Amino acid sequence: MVTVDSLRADHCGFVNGGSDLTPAIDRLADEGVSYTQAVAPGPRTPSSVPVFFTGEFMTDDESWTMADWQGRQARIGEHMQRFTHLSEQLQRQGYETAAFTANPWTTRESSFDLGFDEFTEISADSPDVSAKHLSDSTLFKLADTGIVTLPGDPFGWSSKKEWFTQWPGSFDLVEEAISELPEPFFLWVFILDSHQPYITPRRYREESAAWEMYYAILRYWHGESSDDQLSDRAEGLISQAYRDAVRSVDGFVDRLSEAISPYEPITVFHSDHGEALGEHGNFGHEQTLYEENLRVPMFVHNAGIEEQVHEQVSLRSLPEMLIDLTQPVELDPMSYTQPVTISKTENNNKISVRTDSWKYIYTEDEELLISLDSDGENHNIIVEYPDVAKLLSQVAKQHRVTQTEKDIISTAVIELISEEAQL
Amino acid sequence: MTDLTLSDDLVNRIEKRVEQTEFETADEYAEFVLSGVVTRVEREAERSSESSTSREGVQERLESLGYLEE
Repeated sequence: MVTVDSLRADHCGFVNGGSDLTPAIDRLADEGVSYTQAVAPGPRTPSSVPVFFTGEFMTDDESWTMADWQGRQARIGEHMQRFTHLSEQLQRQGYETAAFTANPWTTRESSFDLGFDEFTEISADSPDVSAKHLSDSTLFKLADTGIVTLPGDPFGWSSKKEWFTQWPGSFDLVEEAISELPEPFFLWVFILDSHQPYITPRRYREESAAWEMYYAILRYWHGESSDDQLSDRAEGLISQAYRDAVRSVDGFVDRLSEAISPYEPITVFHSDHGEALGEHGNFGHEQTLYEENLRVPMFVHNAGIEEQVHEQVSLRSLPEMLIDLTQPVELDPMSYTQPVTISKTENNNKISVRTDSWKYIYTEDEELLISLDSDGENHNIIVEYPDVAKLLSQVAKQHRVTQTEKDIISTAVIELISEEAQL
Repeated sequence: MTDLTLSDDLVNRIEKRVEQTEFETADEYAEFVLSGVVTRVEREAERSSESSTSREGVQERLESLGYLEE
């Protein structure tokens, strides 16, 4: 299973025929089952990956906090402790399981290692790899060698290394794992290359010169920290830096498909969420539920069937799909599609109910009804279509009732088991 | 899938809990409850507090990726 951080669906050719950025991804999608309307359960890693790893949305608990990163990390960890991971299910079925993850929310700290025989964190402070595995860039290695010798980390280098996390730096480790894993195996690779700040190896940059790429980063960060409107030129540079990052992701898929081909595995490919490139005044992945952040590419390759599915599917179905793929029956691609999908922000303050044509968004302050057929989700038409809004709001309400019930159950289970453990 | 037997009284009580939720059947509800219990029991049995990643290191990574800008 390949998870790509922040890869927009419309930048993949198999979803948007006007994009030519992803020939390798498109080839594999065309050879397998591709979903053109896959939807993330949340717009950011913390609201998406814990859900598609367990099949369950995160509930709230009075003791959990969103006030700082430790609270957010602990909340993810508690969720991952509550529910069975897809990796655990596969491990129990006899699969050797291995993971390579570059995302800082999916670590041992947040219990993502459960169910993995081998778990490798790709990061500057990882116990599993050295800094050289972040990137194979000569410039990066020179900088890392030179700057770390300076006293006091004058440029804040230790916290900047993460920007340079690029798949070529650790690909040799992935190849080595593939060659050593006994079959049957489940391998999860989570790459960060299309996550901002979009620093892309030179060989994959077709649009951005180095200075343009770094200038785009500076403009991006400036936009993040001020209310200044980005100029069209700055927006253009950020978008082209992102497109080059997508090309690098495609390069990864090309190399990986070649490396794993002798084993003829089934490959499930998707991103964890999308990425805004100026839509609704946003860049990156803010706590919003618009299409640019929720739509994701997704395909299943080598499952013995070729099909393009245009009905919507939620990444939340991934555990069910992966377990089905271990069974000796033909995959039924339509069985994972849903007429209605639900997505939520990390803090559960916003919930969207999406159909093929409509999206209803409920927040603490307002209700929105948006037509997905036109206008880029810029108009709230709840007054014009009250019956549609009422129907979708009932789905949202049913979901909230369900989550409350599940929260009561989970809390009771924790208290029960904790009491038993203390006796 | 394997069938388990529950008392009628328990099933009736579950069916009341299922009303107005996304659980379509009492089976789904019972599966959720039992799965949560067994998972928690397994976790308690295997609990390990070992963590190799420093909190400071995690904070730096999250900051550098823009997650702590809010």
